[in-house]
Amino acid sequence: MANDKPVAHRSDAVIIISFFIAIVLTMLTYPDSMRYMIPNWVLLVLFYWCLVAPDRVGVFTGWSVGLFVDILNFTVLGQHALTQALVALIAVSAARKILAYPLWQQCFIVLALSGLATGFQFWVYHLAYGNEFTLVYWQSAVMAALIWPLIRILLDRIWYRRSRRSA
Amino acid sequence: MNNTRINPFYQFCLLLVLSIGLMILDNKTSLFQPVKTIGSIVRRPFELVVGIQDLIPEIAEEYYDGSVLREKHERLEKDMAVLRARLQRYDAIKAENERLGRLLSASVESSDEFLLANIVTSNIEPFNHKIVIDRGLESGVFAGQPAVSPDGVLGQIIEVGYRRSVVMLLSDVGHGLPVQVLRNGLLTIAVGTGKPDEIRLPYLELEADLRMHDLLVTSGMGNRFPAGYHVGTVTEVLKDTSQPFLNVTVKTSTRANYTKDVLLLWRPVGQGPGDRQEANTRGE
Repeated sequence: MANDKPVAHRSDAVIIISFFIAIVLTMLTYPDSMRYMIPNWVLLVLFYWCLVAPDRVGVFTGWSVGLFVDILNFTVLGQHALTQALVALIAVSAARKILAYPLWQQCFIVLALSGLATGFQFWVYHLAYGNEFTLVYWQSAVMAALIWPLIRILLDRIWYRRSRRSA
Repeated sequence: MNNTRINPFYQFCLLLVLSIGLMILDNKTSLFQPVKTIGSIVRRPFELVVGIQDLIPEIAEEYYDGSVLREKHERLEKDMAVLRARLQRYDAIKAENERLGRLLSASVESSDEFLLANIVTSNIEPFNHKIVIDRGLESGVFAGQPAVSPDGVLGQIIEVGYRRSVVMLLSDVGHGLPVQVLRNGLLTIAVGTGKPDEIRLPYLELEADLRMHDLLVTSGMGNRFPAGYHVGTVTEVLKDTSQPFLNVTVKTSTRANYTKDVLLLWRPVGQGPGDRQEANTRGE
């Protein structure tokens, strides 16, 4: 038990750093041709932590991170927060089932979730400004699904090595 | 980060109500202006990391042999010579214009004041065409302020933080701008398309005199943008007789992703009813 505390503290740091990097990735300048292809990095990282560490990261964490992104990006407060909370809810509720699927099937879940998130954001903009529907916006969901295995493998390496060392 | 106590579904329901409340309040009131102000400070550590991206081309340039830099220097000097020559004429024309204006006892439009700003983040999200610049309340930036680049109009300020503010680009679907065709003075309104560097003119009747490559400038209508700044060139005119209006596509003069410098404009005092106050609050 005496060993427990510093370990827990350290892994929280891993989670926070991963969210930091995800936010930085969204803030980078990408070329015009890639504009619509950028996956929702924060969503991917949140999805991972909700599956692997649902006792630490859940609906409230998702909401807080989303609200933080809203504050950083000057977007309407609550817009990203609500999307990320929804993603976290789905991921946390079905974490065991999703983890039991093979990696390529998880990609489809990521596609659906990312599409849902994009659809929601798009709907907000549609209500606010009347953006027209185009398929272009769904490129990012496809990219998120394609990138998911990479995120999964990378974060697995970091997370499970730490856990094993602590065990 | 303890989520085990309450059922996640109830958590979500609570946060759903909270989020909707936040969105409505943020949209309808300026209650959260302090949060936006703080947001520009919280951004700092992220921007420092993102800034590394800008250093990469600079480091790469160090490894070039001097010829690239020399070439660049030569080109800039040539540009400057041409511009200085043009500026001489501009001064003379301006003086003459002012003299004529005074003869007609019309109000003389003196030149605008500029403040140079840099782009910090070039796009916030794919849906909206907005950029973040490194000037805010501290420099007297205000919502609705015109932002131009050396090539033409960029957009206008929509959110102001302490040292950061958000510019909505011309190409954003939420943006409308009164414009004028330079060739014949035709007045109309340009609105964003949501595609990068593209706007359209939806309110021109089929008989309107408009050709390819026509240059559009700001008309000064609506009292927000001063007249005469470049907006874009017409790239496509589609005449569909079954439709009441022409379908005109315009390429903006400023390519938002390739510009680093933004100029914020202050119009001289006494131009419009609201301007006097704004110019005063600038606090130099």
